[in-house]
Amino acid sequence: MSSSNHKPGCSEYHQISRRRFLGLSAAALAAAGMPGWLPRVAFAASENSGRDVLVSIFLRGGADGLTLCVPHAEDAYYALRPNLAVPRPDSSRPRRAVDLDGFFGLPPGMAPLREAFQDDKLLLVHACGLTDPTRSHFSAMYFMEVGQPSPPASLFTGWVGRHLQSTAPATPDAVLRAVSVGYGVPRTLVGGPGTVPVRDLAGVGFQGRDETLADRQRALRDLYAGASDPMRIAADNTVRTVQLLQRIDFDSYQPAGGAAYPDDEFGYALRSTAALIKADLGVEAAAVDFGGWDTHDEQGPLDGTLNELMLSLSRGLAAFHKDMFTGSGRNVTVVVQTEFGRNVAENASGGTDHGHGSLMLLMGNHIAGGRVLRNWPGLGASQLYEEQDLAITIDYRDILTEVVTKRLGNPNFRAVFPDPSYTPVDRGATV
Amino acid sequence: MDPTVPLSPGFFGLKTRPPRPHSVPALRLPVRPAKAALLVATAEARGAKALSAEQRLLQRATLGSSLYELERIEQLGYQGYLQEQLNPERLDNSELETALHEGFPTLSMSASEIYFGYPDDFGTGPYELMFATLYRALYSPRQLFESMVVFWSDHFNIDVWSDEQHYLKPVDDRDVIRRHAMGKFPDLLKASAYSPAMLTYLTNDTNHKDDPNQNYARELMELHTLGADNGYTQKDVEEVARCFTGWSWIWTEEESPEFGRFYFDPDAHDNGPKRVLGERIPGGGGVRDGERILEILAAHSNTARFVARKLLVYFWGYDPPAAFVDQVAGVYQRTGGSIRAMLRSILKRGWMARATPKLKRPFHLMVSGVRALFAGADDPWYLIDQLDQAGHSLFSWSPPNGYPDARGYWSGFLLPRWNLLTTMLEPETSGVQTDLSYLDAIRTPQVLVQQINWLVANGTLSESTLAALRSYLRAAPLSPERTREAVALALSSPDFQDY
Repeated sequence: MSSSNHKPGCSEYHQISRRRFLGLSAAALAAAGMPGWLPRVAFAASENSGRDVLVSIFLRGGADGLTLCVPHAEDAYYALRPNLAVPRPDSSRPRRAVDLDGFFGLPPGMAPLREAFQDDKLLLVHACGLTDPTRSHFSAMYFMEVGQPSPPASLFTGWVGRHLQSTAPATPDAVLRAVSVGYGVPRTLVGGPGTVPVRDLAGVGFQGRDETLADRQRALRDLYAGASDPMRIAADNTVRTVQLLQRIDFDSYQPAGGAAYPDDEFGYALRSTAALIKADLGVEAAAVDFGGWDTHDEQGPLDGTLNELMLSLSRGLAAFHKDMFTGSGRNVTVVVQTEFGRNVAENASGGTDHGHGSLMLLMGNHIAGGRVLRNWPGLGASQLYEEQDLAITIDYRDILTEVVTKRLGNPNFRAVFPDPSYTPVDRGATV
Repeated sequence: MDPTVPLSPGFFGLKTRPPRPHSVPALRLPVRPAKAALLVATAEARGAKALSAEQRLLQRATLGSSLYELERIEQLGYQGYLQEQLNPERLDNSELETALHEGFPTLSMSASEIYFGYPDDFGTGPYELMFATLYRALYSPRQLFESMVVFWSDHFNIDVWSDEQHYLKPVDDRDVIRRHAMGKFPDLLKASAYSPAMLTYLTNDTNHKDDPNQNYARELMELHTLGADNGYTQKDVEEVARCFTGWSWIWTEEESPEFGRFYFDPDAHDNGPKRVLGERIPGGGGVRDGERILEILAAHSNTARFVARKLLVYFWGYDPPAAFVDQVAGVYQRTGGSIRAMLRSILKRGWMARATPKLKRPFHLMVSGVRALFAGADDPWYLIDQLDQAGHSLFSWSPPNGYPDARGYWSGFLLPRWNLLTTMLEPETSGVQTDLSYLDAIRTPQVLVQQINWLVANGTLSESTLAALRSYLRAAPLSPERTREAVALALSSPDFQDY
């Protein structure tokens, strides 16, 4: 895609406005209505482009879609999971599913998301996933994040990385186009220009004597100026990212809508991400990893491990929903994925082994939410994939293609999903 | 860029670490004799010889070269040095080991002794293991051996913060990884399969005939032997899982010598016939079923190639030629999986001369910095914290594939690396004790930079790095502080990030 087909006519205005704002004092910024937690960030609120910021959340380990979104109208679900099924909404058990549409329901651990669902901002997509048969975490994640089953060796960049490659920056001359809230760059973002992993957005800073800091930064630039490409770019990105992030006072960030992020790692990552997005520094994508979903034993969907995981996920997302999407809201799309689902039948260890079809969650102002999107294959013996798993009736790329073309402003979906044998089907996930 | 799979930590969950035990004494090892000035002087007098294969061997066969190592390889020659490292039992590390075992008693304990000896203490075992691993990497003369421990700790990854590992992983480190690190791969594989730490980590201890748990079976083929989706099917995974039903370990309420030992539960074992990778496993085999699987996998040509390639990626470069992989796999096949023989093949002069640059992972970077400076490490907590900051905490990678060995994963954000190397030169912050007083007598930036070059990189820093360091020193009057900053910058240079 060429740079001519995004944000026509606006870039010059934005550059001027940014230069103008950069000269303002903190008092002037406050007078101009800039929030107090952004004392030194100087970009105008009008910097928002028409393109959404993407927040990509990956549930590592193969999350059990049949617990996260319970098919309570399926008798087979209860037959195959005598110990692990979430009770039906009309059950007399105190911990049971909350009905969504007469067929699916949310388990107690996901119930905090009910408000976002009723607000039509949250879409669940069921029986969806990666069509490749692999049951290896590492292969499935690799394929899914690259964006193609069994990709050729030459295709190793991530789908978001290629989206960023094939679009001009939403904010001209943005230093930072994508962050991974973690130690490394997940495959999803690999290949993206201006992409940096930062585990703790609020905690970056150079060690050493303050009086020599400028000299030492200059020396680092000199040292890396002649280095080979990955290292030269990494050094440059590092210095510029530190300078950029130090302008934001993350600790004083006040979420909107009375949102309270939970006090755990995922909540902290989402809160920092929200502050970064609202700082309008030109960040277009953020990736957050959330691990722990490989529940081979004692998965505890109602009161154990899986319940805790779901609570962390749902409370974090619920806070993000309040913070981002109340009122006129932000142009943000959240995508939650996992590499595969788990066997329909429980195993003897009170857990479930690697399966196939699972669930995606999408959240945003322009997401056709308030429903469970599906082409339900059923859980009857003859309906199962390889006689043991939820079948996949929606290719996860169908959903992502819609996000890329309709929410991220990139009409060139082939740059993102280059597999020539793949033809996207419009599933109506966005409005 | 390389197509290996990077994956962030935290795969198995958000971990909360136990509080640090107070019982762990800070072990102080003697600062290496301040012979550094002399070594720099003699190295300089000998002149910078083009030692490319030798320098590369020093970098690849150790966790950090130094002027000591340079002197050693000049004395012994390439072959002599390699022979010495390939035969670690001939290198005396008794002083270090005595100090470690006195300081960290869990190193010599059984699982039972740790579990019952430190009730409700989830930290002592893991932290003592981390300290010992750090000190061994820093100060053991058996550098190639310690590097192999790093390699196998990734290959047979176990997260020490996951369930039951605070008393099981220390035993696995000693009796599986270290015992076989330079032995035969089939023995290492078998020891790992029998290790309660691995059986717990990959949940085979819940693998029961009535409903097999496939976790260990899958990772055994995918990560330990054949490679992902490389010559096996889902049916094979299911059959291998059946073979390993009943492989478990003993947990007792009361202290007992049996606690934490491997246990085969015949009642949980599926004794029916199986078929794995085209081979029929007859019924009634009991524990032999699993052993037969280990034999089949260890003898499989895909395993030979998978292990050979991974070793080449670790020691030679990210993208080894197929012909190299074939050759090392051939060594595996001919020698029954001798790790030593594969290393001898990979580390030969002709290949080291052509080895391609690799990026040090944070642990390697830290260790090589301390080693280059002949520094003492008084505060292991600080160094362990710095590894946390850099995303490379020892034995703390959650998913079973081990920390990535890929430039792309580690090069995204260099700040934690630079910060670690900066504070390393601040003894009051880091506890890293470095005697650089002999540098303070030097009055010209030109000479000072040349000395730093010898000290930090055996005289191998590039001209552009030397120029940047000179201009840093010329920009302000010389002082001990500025000299230390220049050393930190030399360590932070792109030259020192690679090896």
